Amino acid sequence: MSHSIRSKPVYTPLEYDARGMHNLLVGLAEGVDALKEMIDRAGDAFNPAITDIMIAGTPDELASIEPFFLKDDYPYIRFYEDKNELIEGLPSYFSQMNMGFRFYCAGPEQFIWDAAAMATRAHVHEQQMQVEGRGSQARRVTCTHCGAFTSDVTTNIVPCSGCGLHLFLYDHFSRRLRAYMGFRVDAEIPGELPEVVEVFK
Amino acid sequence: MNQKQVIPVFVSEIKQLTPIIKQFTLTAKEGELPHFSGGSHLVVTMDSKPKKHKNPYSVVSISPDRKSYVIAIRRDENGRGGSMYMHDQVEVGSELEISAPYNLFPLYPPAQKHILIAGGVGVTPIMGFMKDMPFMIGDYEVHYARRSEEHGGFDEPLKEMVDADRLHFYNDAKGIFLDIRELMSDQPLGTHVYVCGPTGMINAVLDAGKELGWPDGAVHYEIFKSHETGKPFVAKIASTGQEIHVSEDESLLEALERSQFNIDYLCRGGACGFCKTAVVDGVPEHRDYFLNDQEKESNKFIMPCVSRCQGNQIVLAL
Repeated sequence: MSHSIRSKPVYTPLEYDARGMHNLLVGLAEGVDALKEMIDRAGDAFNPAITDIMIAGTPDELASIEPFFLKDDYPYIRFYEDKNELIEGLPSYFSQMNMGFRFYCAGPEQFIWDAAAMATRAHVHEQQMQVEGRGSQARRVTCTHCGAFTSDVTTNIVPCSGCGLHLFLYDHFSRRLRAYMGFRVDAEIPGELPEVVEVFK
Repeated sequence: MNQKQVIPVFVSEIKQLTPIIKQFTLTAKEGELPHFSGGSHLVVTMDSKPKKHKNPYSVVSISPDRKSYVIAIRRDENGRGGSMYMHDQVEVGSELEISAPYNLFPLYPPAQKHILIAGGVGVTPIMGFMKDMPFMIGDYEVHYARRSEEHGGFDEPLKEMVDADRLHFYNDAKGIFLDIRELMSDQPLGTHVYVCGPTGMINAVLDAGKELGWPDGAVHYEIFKSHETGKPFVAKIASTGQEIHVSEDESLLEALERSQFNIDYLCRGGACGFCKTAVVDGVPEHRDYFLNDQEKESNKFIMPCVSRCQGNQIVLAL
C-alpha cells in the first residue's frame, strides 16, 4: 500500500506543551499508555493542577489505569466504560475553555478522530490539539458512490453498509468526515474480487 | 496576480489627519484599480531625486467607483526619507506609481471572534478590515490606542465604520492605557487577535499570547521595517565575481536593482519573504521579520530589503 497519500495521518508521540494554561487529556484503551508516556517525558513541566482527565476503557482496563491517575491531584478526572459517552460530553466541556487550552487525545484511530472533530467544531485551534493513534487501526470508510459510512473495517475490501458495493479501502483520509475513502473494487469486471485479507489490526 | 504591475496614479486629495499623519487619496490615471482585501498593503514608488523610494503602506479604502485608494502615512524623521518626501514634496496633482495591493495580513474568516488592536498610524489596516468584516462569521472588537486627542485624526472615520459598542479608545496623554494582557485573558476558543502599531505594542501582544498559551496561529501582526542605514559593504555575486558596493543609506536590494539584478520583492519591509536570497559566504546582519531563528543563525539566507552585512563583504548565490 502506498504511503505517499498525504492525507493519511502520521502520528508522532504526544508532546506536552507547557505553554498551555489548561489541559484536557483523553485516552481510550491502549491510548492511555501514550498519555502516561507523555506525562513521564514532560517531567516537572507537566502540571496536574491545570489538567483534566477523561479515560475510557473496559472495566479491566480502567481498574489497572486508575491508580496512575488517582495518585495525582487533578481538578477533574472521570472514567468511562462507554467511549461514546465520553465523546458526547466533549462539546459542553470545550465550551468552558479559553484560548490557553490544550487538548491531547490518544487511542484507536476511529476514536481519536471522533474526539478531534468535536474539538474542531468547538473551535479548538489545530495548534492547541494533538492526537496519537494507539491500538486498533480499524478504519471507518466512506463510500465514494453512496456516501454511507462503514465502521470497524479491518480488511482491505469491505461491502458498503449503504449500497453493498465491494469497496477498496484507500489511504486517503478525510479529517472532516473522520473516515477513509473507499471505492468500488470490481468496477471493471463485476464480481471479480481480489483476495480479502485483514490488514488494519 | 502580477506583483510587478505598475499602476500610474496621481494624488487627488491630501488631508492632515494628525500633526504627523497625512492621508493621501491616490487616483488611477486611467481605468479601474484592482480590488483589495482588508489588511492589504501597496508599494508606493516615489521618484525623489537622486534616488527612488519604494515604501509599503496599508490600504485604508477604495472608492466605490474603484478609481482611488486611500492610504495614510506617518512622517518619520528618522527614516530614510520616503515618508518625508510624501509629506513635504507631494501635493495634490503629484504623480506616483503604485503596485497592486497584496495581503500579508488577512482576516481569518473561520474565526469566531476577531480582536483588532491598533496603535497610531497602525490603525490603517484595521480600517481596511472593516470593508471585509460584514462577510465574517465571527464577532469583532476594535481597540485603538493613540497619544492624545490631538492625534485622534482617525477617531471620526473609525466611529463611522465601527459600531460604538465594539470600539474602544485609549489615550496615552490621559493615562488611559490598553492592558493587552488583560484583554487577551480568558478569550473564548476560536478567537484571533490582530495587531498593527509600534514595535512595543506588537511585542506586548506576542508576549501576552505566549504567556497566556495562545496558539501562534491565532496571533496575527503586521510590521514593516523601514530600511535603516548601516555601514557600507560589498556584495559579491558568486556566479560572476561582480562586486557591488552598497552605500550606507542604500539597501542591499536597491544596490542589486541598481546593478540590473531583477530580485522578486513585495513588501520591501522584511515581512513577505519574496526577496529571500541565498548567501554563500559572509555573515548577514538580519533585520527582517521573515526568516525564522534557525534560518537566521545558519547565515545561509538574507532578506536584502532590510538586512545588511556584519563584515565588509557578503557573497550572494546569484
